[in-house]
Amino acid sequence: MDRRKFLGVGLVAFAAIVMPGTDLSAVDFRETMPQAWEVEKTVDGIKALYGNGALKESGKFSFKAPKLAENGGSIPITITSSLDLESIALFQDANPRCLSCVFSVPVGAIIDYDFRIKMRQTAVVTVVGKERGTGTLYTSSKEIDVSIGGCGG
Amino acid sequence: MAKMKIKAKEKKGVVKVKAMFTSLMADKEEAVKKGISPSYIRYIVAKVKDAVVYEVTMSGFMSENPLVKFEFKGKKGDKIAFTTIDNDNKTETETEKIK
Amino acid sequence: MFKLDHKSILIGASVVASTALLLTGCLSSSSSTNEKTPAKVQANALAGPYTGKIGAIDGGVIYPRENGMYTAYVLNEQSTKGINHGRVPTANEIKAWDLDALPDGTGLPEGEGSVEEGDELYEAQCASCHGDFGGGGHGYPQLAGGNQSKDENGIVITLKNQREYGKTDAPKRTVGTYWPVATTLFTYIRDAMPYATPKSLSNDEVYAITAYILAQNYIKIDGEVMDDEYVLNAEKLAKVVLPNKDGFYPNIDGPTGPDDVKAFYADRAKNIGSGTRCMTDCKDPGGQDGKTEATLVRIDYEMSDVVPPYSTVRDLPPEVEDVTISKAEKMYNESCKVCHANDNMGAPALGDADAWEDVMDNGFDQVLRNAIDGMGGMPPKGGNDSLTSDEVKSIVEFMINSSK
Repeated sequence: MDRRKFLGVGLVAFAAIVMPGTDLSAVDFRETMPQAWEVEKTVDGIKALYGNGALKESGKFSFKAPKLAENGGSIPITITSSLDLESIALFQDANPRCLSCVFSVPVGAIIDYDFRIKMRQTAVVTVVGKERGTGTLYTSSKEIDVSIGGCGG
Repeated sequence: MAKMKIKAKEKKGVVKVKAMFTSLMADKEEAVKKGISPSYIRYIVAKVKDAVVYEVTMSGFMSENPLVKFEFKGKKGDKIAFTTIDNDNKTETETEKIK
Repeated sequence: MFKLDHKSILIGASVVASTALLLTGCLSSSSSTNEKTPAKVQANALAGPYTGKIGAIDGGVIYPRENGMYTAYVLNEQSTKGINHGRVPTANEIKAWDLDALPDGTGLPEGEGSVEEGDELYEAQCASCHGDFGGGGHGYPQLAGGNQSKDENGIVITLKNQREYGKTDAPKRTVGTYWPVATTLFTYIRDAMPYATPKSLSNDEVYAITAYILAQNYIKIDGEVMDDEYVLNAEKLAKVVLPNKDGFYPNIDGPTGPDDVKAFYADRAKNIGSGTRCMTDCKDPGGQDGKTEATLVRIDYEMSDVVPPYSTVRDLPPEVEDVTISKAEKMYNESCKVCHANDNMGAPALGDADAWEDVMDNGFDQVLRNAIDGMGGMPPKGGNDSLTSDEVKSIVEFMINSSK
């Protein structure tokens, strides 16, 4: 990639992050945690967003995803949980940066989130949930095979 | 052109919501490949009567024209308002009645 | 080979001939009332086998017809006198077949349906394949989305030159960007959808779904935006103008067909439909008397002579070599991954230590031999003949090493 162009693009993105946001956001993670969005690897991404706490697996926290995705540009993911979580994040190792999205869960909400992500190659997808109050971190991960990569190639 | 398609339906006290947003979701790398400037929605929030029911912060690694589905406890007739902020801090808001 | 063909043609011809004779015998008595066919048709039928005219096919070669033969083919010289080709269909039969709807709305049935009803039906019957809001993503056609804005020639921008942004994206063909006429959207849904149970929807339901799909594409009818309460019927559907209305070939049927084609190509390709066909005093194509040589009549224009010209620019970005994967892994991805990525097809999956341990009980040499010669459902060299034995060996080693 053209280095100058890359830097320029980066600057634009950076400007978008640091610019004062509107008052409607409760927690806009792109503003409060700008560094977490630039991390490449999942392990480091989790640390950047949630700190060094131990990760626990739980039957009450899981997500659904296809084992083999035909189209990496659109992989359906469903996160469900009966725990009282404060926030949920999805990481993958397929793209240049690992963080795909962070949900901040309102109090008393039903956790059943359905959305689609892009992955440019086969990789492990990890979701991490932070419990309200205790701050316990729950995790669940799956490898998703991608036959045609997303992100425009 | 409208930027959002929203559908909210109440059944037994639970409102099921589906919403689709118009965006290329092109992060830095993809934007360079396509020869355009980056363009993605970075924040979506849904509110009913000023109470947040759904909130997500995203990177460009979500699918083009992102489609989200979720549920919350609510009732018929209320209005659900979606607001998105894109990478250029442009804000869009649209409201739909819960059926 | 030629002899055999020749013989079978003869046999085929005689079978046809005898069947024709039989039919003639049966029908002549029962259909005497139907014999008031116009005299012109009769005359043609009496003429029997087709007699070619000099220069009948533009640019083609005509060989002499001799001794009942046209080159290697036997001419059917059987008289067709008295053969009746079926009967005139009854009004009811025509009604049962005549189900299409013309762009102007002719042929659309009665009925109506609202966008909101369509939403319900779409959710239940269509969304599982075509995606929510028509957004696709399930391997079936996307129905809404794409860029509908047009360039100065009236061509939808995303369909132009096949690539969006001048780079890598393929055109998006949705109802909004691609479908030319809304009435056929109705007939298509009615006759062919839902995929598993076609024709199960009532006309009202089809109107509702059509309305919903049009609304998802932000189509306006008579300048009116289609909101949830909008009710679609035959009259309104006929008024719909889709963005890609002019993106298709013109109507070539009917008396105005040739003029339609000429008008369509007037500012497009110069080689089609704009010439005049030679009717009298034409150049002798030769070959008719068996003395002069058969000549080819060539078309004046090249197929590439179109406006705007076809692009031959190769501007796709070059593929970037991924240096992090080995050559063996790359070959594995190309030739073996389809089956070995998981155990769905019964092949030992990459990374499945137990499965590979069983395989390796036979010894590496046997595994390699199986990979090269094929085994069970596995084709030789994974179906890729261009791999050398050494390359297969490196792939097998990679797969074994990755599965420990």
